[in-house]
Amino acid sequence: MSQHNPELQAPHQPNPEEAIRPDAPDFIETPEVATVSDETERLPLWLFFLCGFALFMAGSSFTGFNTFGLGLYDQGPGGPALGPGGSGPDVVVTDPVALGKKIYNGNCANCHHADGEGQPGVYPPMGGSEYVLGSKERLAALLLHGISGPITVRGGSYGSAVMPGWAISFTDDQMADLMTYLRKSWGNTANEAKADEVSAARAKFASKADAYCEADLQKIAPNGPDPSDTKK
Amino acid sequence: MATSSSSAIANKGFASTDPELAAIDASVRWPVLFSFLTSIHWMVVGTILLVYASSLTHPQETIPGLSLFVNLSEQCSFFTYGRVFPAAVDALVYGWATTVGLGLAVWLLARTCRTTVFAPTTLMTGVIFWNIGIALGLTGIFLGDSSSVELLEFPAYSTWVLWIAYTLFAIPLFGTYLGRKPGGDHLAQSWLLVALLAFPWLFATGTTLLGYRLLSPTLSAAGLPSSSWTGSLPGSGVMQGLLDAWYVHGILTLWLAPLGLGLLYYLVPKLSGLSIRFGSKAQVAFWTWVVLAPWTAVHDMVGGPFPADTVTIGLIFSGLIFIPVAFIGMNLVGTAWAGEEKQGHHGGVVLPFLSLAAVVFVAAGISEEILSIRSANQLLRFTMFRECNIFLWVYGFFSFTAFGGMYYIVPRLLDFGWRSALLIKAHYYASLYGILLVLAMLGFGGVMQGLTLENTDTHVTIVNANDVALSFYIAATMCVGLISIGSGIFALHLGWMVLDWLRIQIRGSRLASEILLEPYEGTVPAKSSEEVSA
Repeated sequence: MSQHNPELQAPHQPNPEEAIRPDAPDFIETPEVATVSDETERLPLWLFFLCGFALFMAGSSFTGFNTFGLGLYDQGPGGPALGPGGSGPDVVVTDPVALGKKIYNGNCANCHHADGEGQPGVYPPMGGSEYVLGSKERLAALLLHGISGPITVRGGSYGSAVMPGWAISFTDDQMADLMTYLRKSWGNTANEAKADEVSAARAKFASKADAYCEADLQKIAPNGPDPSDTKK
Repeated sequence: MATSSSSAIANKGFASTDPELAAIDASVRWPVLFSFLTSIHWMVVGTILLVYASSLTHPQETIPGLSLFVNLSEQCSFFTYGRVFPAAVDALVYGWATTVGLGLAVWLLARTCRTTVFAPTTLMTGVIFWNIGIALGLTGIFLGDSSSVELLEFPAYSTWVLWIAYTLFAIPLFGTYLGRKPGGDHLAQSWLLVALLAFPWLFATGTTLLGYRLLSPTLSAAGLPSSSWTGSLPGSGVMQGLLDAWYVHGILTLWLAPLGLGLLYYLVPKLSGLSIRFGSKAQVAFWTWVVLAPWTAVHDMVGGPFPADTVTIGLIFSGLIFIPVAFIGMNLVGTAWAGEEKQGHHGGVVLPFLSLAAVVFVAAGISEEILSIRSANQLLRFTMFRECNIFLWVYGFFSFTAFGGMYYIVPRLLDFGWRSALLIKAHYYASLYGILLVLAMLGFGGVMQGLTLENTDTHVTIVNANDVALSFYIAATMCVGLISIGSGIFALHLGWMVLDWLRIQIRGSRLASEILLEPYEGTVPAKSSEEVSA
C-alpha cells in the first residue's frame, strides 16, 4: 500500500469491536494500476507440463473413443454399439464368449460369482464341472428347467439352494452363447454350443414341468464329454 | 450537542476519493442497492428452503428441531421435496445469484466504461420487474405449475415477466456501453460482456425450445394445442436432456462464472495494488474458457442415449478447461494472495472474500475436470458429487465473489461504513468452514456413494449405496446450515447498515450507538437547558 500512498504509511487496522472506518485498507482508493503489467511473467514449469498432460490425455481420449457416425450412440470401447442400423457403420459384437459373458454376469454371477467358483456347499463351481464340460443336451436341460436337490460337482456335494429354470428368459441364441461361455472359460476347453442344439433340447424336454434332480440328469446322459466334442 | 470526537464511528468518507468514480457510483446507487437488497431477501428465502429440502433427504429426527417440518411435508403438498427443492434452487440461482449479478454488472459496467450509467430509472424498473417475475415463478412452483425441466421450472407467466425485466435492464446497459470512455479495464469488461450477452441467449433458447413454456399458452389460445407442434421443435424427445444440460451448465459457466470473474479481475488488482500476475495469460484464459466451458454440459450425458461423437468431443473439450482454470487460478489466486501478504493479513475485509472466491473457482474447475474423465464420470454421475459441483459454483464461487463485491461497493454507494468488523469476520469464517466441510462431505461422500453403486459384489445393492450416502447427507445439511448462518449474518448486517444510513438521512443526527461508543473524556458535558427542563 505504501508505495502508492506515501501519505498513508500505516493503514488503520480495524478493531473487531469497531465499525469499519474509512481509512481501512478497503476504502483507500489506490491509484489505478495497470491490470496487466508490461513485463511478462513466465509460467512455472510444472504448470506447463500439467497443461501438456491435459492435452495429451485429450488426444488419447480422442483416439480411444473416435467411433463417430450418425447412428452411433455412446457405449464406450468393448461394448456393442446400439445403433439403429442407419447410415453409420455399426460395430456388432458376434463373439459368443463375449455375449455369453454379459449374460452370465447379469444373471448367473449373483450365485456362481464372476470367477465361476460358486460357493462351497451351496452353488457349484463352473470351471472343471462335469455338467458344464459334459453332454450339451444335458447342460441345456439343466439350464432350461433348473435343478433342485444335491448335486455332485468336482467331487464335492452342492445344492442346498434351488436353481430356477431359464427357459423363458433367454432365446436359443442367448442360451447357446451362455453355454459356450461356460464351456470355454475358467480353464474349460470344451467345444461351443449351437442355437439349434439348444432348440432341439428345448423341444425334447418341453414336457418337463418342474426342476431336475441329479438322478434325472444322469438319465439324460452320463458324465463324460459331449459326443460332438472331438477333441477328447 | 457535543461535537463528534475523533474515535466515534465515521459516517462519511467511504465514497471514492476520485471524483469521477464517485460520480459513477452515485449514478448507479438506487438500482444497484435495490438489486442487492432484494437479492439478499431471495438468498434468505432460498437458503431456508434449501436447508428444509436437504433435511427431507434423510429422516428428520437425526437433527433436533426438524421434526416440525415432517408434518408440513406430510400434510401439505406445498412442502414436498418435489416442489421445495426446485423452488430453493431457483430462488438461489435466479433470485439470489442472478439478481445480485445484475446489480454487480451495472456497477462494473459503469466503472469499466468510465461513465455514469444511462437511464438509471429504466434500470430500477427492470430490477423491480425481475423481482416480480421471481416471486411469480416461485409461487407457481409451489402451486404445482412447475415445468419439471431443471432450472427452467418457472411457469410461462413468470417467464414473460422475466423477459420484460431483462429487456428493460439491457437497454440502459447498452446505452452505457455505447457511451464508454477510452482507457477502461478491458479484461474485466470482456468477462462482463460475455455474461451479459450469454444470459439472454441461454434464457431465450431454454425457455422457447425446451419447455416450450413461453409459447404454448399463446398458441393453444390460437387453436394450436401444443401436442400438434411440439414434436417438430428441435428440443423434443431425447434432445430435451441435451438441451437442458447445455442450459444448466451455460448458466453456471457462461453467466455466473464470467460475472464473478469480471468482478474479480476488476477488484483484485485494485485492492492489492498489484498488476495481475501472469497477466499475459489472461486473454488466453478468457478465450479458452468461453469456447470450452459450455461443453461441461456432457457431464450429465455420459452413457445416455446421445450420439457418441457429442459425448466424446464434449468430454475432451471440457477436460481441456484445465488450461483456463489453471491460468485464471494463477492470475487471481496469485494476485490476491500477494495482495493479502502486502496488506498484512488483517488489512481489509474485501480481499479475503475475493481470494476465497478465487480458490473456490479453482476447486469448482477441478471438480469439472474430474467429471471430464470418463471412468470417474461413470462412477460419480448419479451421486451427490454433482450437487457438490453445482454448490461450489453457485454457493461457493459466485456467492463469495458477490459478498466481497458488496462489502466493497455498498459503502461507496452510500458513503457510509459497515457497522461491525466482528460480524464481517463471523461471516467470513462461517463461509470458509462451511464450504470446506461441504466440499469434504459431498465430494468424499459422492465418491463413497459411487464406489458402492458400482461395486461388482452383487450383495451390495442400491440400498447399501443409499445407506452410505445418508450420513453424508446429514452432515451436508449441517454444513449448509453453517453457510446459511454466515449468509444470515451478512443479511442482518446489511439491513442494519442500510437502516442506520436511512435514519441518518432522515434525522440528520448521530446514531445512538455512535454516542454510546464515544469515550468518556473526563468531564461530563453540561446539560443544556432543554434537557434540564425535561
